[in-house]
Amino acid sequence: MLRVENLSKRYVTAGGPVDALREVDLVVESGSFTVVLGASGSGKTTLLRVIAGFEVPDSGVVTLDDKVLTGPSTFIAPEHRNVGIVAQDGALFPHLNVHDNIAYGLRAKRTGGRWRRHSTQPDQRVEELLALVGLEGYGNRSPNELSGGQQQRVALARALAPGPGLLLMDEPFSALDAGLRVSVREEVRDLLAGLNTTVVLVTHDQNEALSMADHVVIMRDGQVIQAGRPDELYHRPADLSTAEFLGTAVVLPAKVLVGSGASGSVEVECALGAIIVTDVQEVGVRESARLMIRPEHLMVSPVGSSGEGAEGTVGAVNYYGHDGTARVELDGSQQEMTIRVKGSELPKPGERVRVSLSPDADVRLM
Amino acid sequence: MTLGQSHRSTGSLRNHAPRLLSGAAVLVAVASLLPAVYLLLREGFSYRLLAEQLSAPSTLPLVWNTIQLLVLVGLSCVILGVGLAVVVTRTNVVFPTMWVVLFTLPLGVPAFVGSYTWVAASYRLMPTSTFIYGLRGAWIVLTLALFPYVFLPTVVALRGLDPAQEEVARSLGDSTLRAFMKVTLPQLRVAIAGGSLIISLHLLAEYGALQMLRFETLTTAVVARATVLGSPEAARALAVLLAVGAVGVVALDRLLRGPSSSAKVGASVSRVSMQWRLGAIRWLLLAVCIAVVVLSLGVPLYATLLGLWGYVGSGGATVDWSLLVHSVANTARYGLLAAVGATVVALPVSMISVRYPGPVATLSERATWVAHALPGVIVALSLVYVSVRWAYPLYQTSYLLVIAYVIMFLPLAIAAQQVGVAQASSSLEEISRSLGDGPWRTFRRVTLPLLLPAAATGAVFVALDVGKELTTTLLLRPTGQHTLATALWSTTEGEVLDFTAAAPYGVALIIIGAIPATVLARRTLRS
Repeated sequence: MLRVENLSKRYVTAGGPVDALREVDLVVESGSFTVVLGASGSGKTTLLRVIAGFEVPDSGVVTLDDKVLTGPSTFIAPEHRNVGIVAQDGALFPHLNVHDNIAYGLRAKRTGGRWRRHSTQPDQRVEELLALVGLEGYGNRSPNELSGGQQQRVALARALAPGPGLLLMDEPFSALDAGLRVSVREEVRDLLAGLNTTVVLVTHDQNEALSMADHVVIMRDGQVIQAGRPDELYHRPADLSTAEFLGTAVVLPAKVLVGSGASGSVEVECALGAIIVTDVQEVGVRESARLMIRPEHLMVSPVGSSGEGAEGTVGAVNYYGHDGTARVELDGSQQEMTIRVKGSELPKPGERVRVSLSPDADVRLM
Repeated sequence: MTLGQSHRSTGSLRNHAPRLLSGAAVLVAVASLLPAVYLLLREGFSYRLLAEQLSAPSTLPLVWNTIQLLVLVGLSCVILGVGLAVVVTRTNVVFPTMWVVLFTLPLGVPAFVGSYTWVAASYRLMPTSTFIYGLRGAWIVLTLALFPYVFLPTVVALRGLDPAQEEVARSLGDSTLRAFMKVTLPQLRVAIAGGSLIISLHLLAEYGALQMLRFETLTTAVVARATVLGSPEAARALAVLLAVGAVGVVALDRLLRGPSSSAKVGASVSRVSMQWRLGAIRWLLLAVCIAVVVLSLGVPLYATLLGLWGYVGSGGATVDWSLLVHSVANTARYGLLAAVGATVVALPVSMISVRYPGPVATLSERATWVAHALPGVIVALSLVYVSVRWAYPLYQTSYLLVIAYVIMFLPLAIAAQQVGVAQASSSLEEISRSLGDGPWRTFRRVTLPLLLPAAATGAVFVALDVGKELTTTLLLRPTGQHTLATALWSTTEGEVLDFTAAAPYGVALIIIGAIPATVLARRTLRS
């Protein structure tokens, strides 16, 4: 288990000091796949580099399986941490072929201050790893003869070769083109799930985070904003910017009619009518509040049909094939909202529609 | 620049350089500054004495001569170099690749060999003419020898510029020429300034060619006073002036470059620029190209081959084969030792300047350039002084000579190595650390192998400059030892007009000089 406690790191730059990490706490269970998600400058890469031992934090403790890696009086050099890393661009050694890249860490394995060879023969281990990442027979290739996806897979094999207790991945798919990214992502996730390796991956791509992770950690301005399962975070984001970072969010002004009691639910009034919002923190009756709804939790139906919701006019629409989005302006408000519907049910611009919440809608009070 | 990038560029494991590395870099810097320090701190030196020497009536003409030479040769090299670079990159002149190679090859002819061949050719064709002597001769011969230093970087810069910029200027109503002058020329500033710096430093240091062409400058006067005339105080006083000039030239270069370093503009541009379709004028340009090649390469080759012919014709009776073999062996030995020495000594400076930019890195790198800017005669004099005082066993040995070469040519090794250090990026070193290698093993298994090609290039350039070096070698060589350069020089002592006796050494020097020139031309073509 990786445990990061109270980690802080400040850089002094030309434009003044920048807090890359501010009292970051993090727990990564053994065998889990954790994704740290943040925009550039959020501190996620610094966090990864501190865990790898490439940066020394100003304060805080990093422990891996109860062994202190970085602490107030401890700093274990990267070569003694047993932490593997896959860099953004692969960072394959250009002067070594694929085989020697993967074998690089096998000869230098060090235990108890003494050098020893890896338990299995290096060559055999390299073959195993090449097979694992689906590159049998590529051992003699040089890195520049490989495609981007292949380079990343070699980088992964190289990092896995010494059997690291923790695997760090720094935006490993961002250099790949969009089509390849999805397939390599899936392959890597399945492969790592089979090995039961503890993985921390950092990315700015919310699709990557949501689709790969067991556990997502959202960082902003050097702080951890929220951590949890991907679906928890998507539907129950801690704040509006987290909500918008993870996907499109519809925000409606609302009034809290009845405050929460022991039940944890409140009744609110918004443009779509009166709604019960569940699982709410203690909140009193308020004139101004905001509701966050995901576009796929809104429905459109023909006007005139009875029911809840409100009528409005369709503005711009985007057709994506499998689904589409429509922007609808509700009557009597300047409020425009994005609604996601099946591609076949997409309304036309200018059409009059009734907008309502879908029955299973997860509405959040912000 | 995002935070992530800003620390990645400087950062490996620590934010400051390891103490061993900074210590080594500082040591190299201090050793490089030795010649400059010698000039000012030598006992017996006083500003009164300096002022006295400098106000001597013979001093002012020397300064004036030196300045005239700097301005005339500098300007004509810029005009010729930029003009030819534009012709080969932007016009439809025939065989552009061939011209790039031919305009680079003059780099392979040492200036003193070039001037000797000009004197020999002039003697051969016009025995009574003195056209080639004095400022006029020095101007012509040195321009033809040095213009490639502007030509090559300008070709690289012109090819690297984004053609879209000129195209936009055209679309906004500028003519071809106007667009070039307004948009492109200002962006060549770095290339031109860099080339001019090298040319100016060469001119300040040049002794052999100017002696041969009978044109007296500060450097020829320093050498004369230090050797033949035996007045070391006067030599030192003039050397101070020379050093001030060299530092001034370096400072001027910083000014010309301006604040922005646009050296890498459009490095990734792959689009080829528009060519100017020229009509009849292209035949005129072709004639200019041919004339430049005839004058810069044809004359040295003509005199050398004629001399060699005379040599063979004379039955070989005068061939001192043992001296030729001896001087080739010495040149190779000194070149090898200096190349290895400079490569090793340069390593800490190139590592620290790329990996840990900061005051220590900047100062140690600049310090090595100061030494390079000082003419060889100053380096030689200071090493003689230091060795006689504190390291007598070194005096009159080839070790002292090699030390001088290392100090003088260190920046060549550093500049080449920096490219390699940058290629062995710190992210690769970090990966190696995470795979279980400590700092030393990482250096041996990752950094060194990636650095090696660039370091080898630097070593070759050092070795070849050692082969061509004359002044320092003359002053520091152990008694009885010759290199190709000094052996050639000793056939003349700047007096004999016939190239016959010098021809074998000239041929050997031109052949070894052609190697780096070809390497440079090929690199330029690849860029």
